[in-house]
Amino acid sequence: MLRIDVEDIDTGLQVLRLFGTLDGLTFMDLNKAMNNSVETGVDRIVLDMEEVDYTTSAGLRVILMGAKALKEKEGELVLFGMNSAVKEVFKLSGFDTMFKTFASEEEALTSF
Amino acid sequence: MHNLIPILIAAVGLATLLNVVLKKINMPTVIGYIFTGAIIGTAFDIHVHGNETLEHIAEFGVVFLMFSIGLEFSVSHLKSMKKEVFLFGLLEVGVCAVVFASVAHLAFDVNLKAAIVVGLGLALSSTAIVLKILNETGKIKSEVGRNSLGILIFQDIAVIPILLLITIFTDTGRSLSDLLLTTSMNAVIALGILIAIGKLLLGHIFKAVAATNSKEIYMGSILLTVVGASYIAHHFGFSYSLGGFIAGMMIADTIYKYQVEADLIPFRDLLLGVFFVSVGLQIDFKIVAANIAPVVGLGAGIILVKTLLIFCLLLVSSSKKVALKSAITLCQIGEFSLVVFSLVLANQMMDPTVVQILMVVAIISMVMAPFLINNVDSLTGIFFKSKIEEDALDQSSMLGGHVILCGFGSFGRVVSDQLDASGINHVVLTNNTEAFVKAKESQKTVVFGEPDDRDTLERLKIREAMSVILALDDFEDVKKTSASITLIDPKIKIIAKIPSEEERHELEDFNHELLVDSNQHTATLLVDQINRSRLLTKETATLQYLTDYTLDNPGETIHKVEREQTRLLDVISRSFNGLREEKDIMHIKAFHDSFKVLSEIIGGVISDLMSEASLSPEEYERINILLDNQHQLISMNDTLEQLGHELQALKKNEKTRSLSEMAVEGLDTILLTLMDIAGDYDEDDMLMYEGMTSNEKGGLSRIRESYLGAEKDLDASGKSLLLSSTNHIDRLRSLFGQVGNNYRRLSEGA
Repeated sequence: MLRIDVEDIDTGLQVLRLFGTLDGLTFMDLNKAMNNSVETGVDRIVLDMEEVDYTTSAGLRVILMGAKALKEKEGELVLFGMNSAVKEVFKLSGFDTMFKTFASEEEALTSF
Repeated sequence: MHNLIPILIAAVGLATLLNVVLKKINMPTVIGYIFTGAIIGTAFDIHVHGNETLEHIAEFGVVFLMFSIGLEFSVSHLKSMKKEVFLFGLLEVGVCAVVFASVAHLAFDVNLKAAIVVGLGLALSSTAIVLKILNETGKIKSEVGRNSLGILIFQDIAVIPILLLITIFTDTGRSLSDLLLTTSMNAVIALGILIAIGKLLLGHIFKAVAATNSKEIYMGSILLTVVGASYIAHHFGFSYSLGGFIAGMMIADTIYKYQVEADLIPFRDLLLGVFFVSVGLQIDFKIVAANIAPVVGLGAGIILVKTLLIFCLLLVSSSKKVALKSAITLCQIGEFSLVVFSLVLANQMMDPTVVQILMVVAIISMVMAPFLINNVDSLTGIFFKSKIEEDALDQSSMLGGHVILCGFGSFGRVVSDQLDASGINHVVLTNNTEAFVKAKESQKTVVFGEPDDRDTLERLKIREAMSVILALDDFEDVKKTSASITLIDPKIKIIAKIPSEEERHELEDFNHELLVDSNQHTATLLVDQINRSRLLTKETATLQYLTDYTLDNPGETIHKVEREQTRLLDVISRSFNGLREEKDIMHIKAFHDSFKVLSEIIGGVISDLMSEASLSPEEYERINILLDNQHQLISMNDTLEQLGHELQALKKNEKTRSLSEMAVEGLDTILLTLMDIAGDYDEDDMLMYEGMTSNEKGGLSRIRESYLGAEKDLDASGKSLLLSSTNHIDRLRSLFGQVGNNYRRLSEGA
């Protein structure tokens, strides 16, 4: 199960708060949410990972796709609040070199 | 001085004779050694006191015992026994000492200082006897074993302050603070030296010694380690045996543990024999004869009170039965008590005759200890038998149409787990204490009893049972139990495991529903598994694009090679899925084998194209890239095959499970992106992919460091596994990067 709460912060800037596991069963939910955001003109997305306990390759691929879509609009995707397991998979997949990650929401929002 | 040779011959001869007889009646060798000592001591008029050489040799028996116990207890294991060592141990020594000291002071009018020292001495139990028997019977890892070991370790540590206390009570020249400061400093220095040697040098020393492949050098190095560590401990005022224990714990964290243990056992047992003979030598029959009433009275009183106190203390966290078993196991007075009493005697703190009587009581209690420990189950049964069996039978009385599983060894455990998985009610019946404890820990309904005991089987409602499974390791037990069941009711269905086909006819008289020949059954399962893997390999390794190709049209064939080669990535991806879904090794191996079959065919076509086709310079360049890709992909498959085994091993360890799972997800993400690039090249994807495979931020090194750090506390084999697996992850990422680069080159040429 994955719940996604979308919060508008500013024009073109949204925080997507994820609750649950990002895996082969739930990755499409995030895919849809990010597509919706991009289609409605959002070019900066902050993923709140504080309540994500685990992510598989399917979940990582969706994040990658989202980042790619935003990049085409010269936007950006950043993340904050990852637990140690998610941080570990970011390091192992090389995502740590591709994404800006932050400890807190405030830092993530001020990074744009 | 006596002539040593006849004494040695008499002692060894008598010990052998006594032990042969005692073994026939199932008594431990400890008794034989102690009686040998008592008889030889009286016959040759030898006394261990004052014979420093004999005292040292005997003491080193205990040192080697503690060393071998230390081998079983790495630092991490000891940490997990905090409760047993520091709570139970402290309570046992504290409460027993207070009670015995109070009785001595108030009832027997012993002066307070002597009463405190004697109270502390009586609180100690015999490490040498208890641990030897628990080790021999394999009970050391049961709950009773853990309780006993924890308390004994604390007692060994407590010897240091007890000896210090005697010095304080008798030494008027030094202040208390001075003595405490010196002892604390000595403890820090001694522990510091031992831990530093253990952590920094021991592994290297044993590695160098192992490289010589010489048994005698190996034995020499073990002796040096044990004797050296105990000498260091003794030099700083601690017991030799504590040094031996710490040395054992240091080696427990290295890979040489098992070899050291195997080489040490004969040596340890011999020296322990000398120790027990020296205990026997201290029995003075004249004192026993002259004071028979006080010896018997004091002995019985001390053992009863000590049993009762330990029993009450352990009730805090153990069941009544376990608490009583532990109390009986530890109720004797120990060898260190003899050292304490010797010092009381030497310092004239008490009437010498009373001290002699105490020493004789201690030795008699040690002689009784093996009898009590060996019969602890029956003794406990007197008090709790009906209650415990009722508990188990209450649970089993809920059953009906149930299965009775006799035996809970390795096979029995698997059967029980499978019955659970299928939701079949069953009750385990075992006569093995360790198996009983394991079954209890696994929340099974279990009854302790003989599988061939008809009363027990009847109480388990065997007539109403769906079936009886005999998962007994010994075929004789299978026969005896089958006979008992047939006597109860010949219609009861039995399923039994037999060692081989040859034993089948021996069970023809009984009503066996199914006889499982373990060899034949295992062989069938293995071949089935291989067949399934072979089919999987065949299915995955079937060609899709290169089913027909011609060298006359190299451009088209090169294109087919490209497409077929991309399928190799798909096969690798399936291996990742296998790892994620925790498929068995044969299943994952099938994918690696498919890869090998497929890559061999593709390699053959590339080779044909290069040697026989007429290629344009562009085609030649393209085929050259595909050849390089082929090499990288083969390395990728080989590396992943090795990594797969390592990840499965990492997954079994709680501390590294997460890394294993995250590695599969992380690497699979890179692979899926590579498959996108290979299928439909996109420069934006490639740029991201470069970031993923660059390891620019050194994330993997940071992961490695965090797992090797003190927080994870991995043992030597865990660290070695971690290094090897992270090296393979690193290698895979680098290979991913190179293959991705080849697809960029292919797209540039397209």
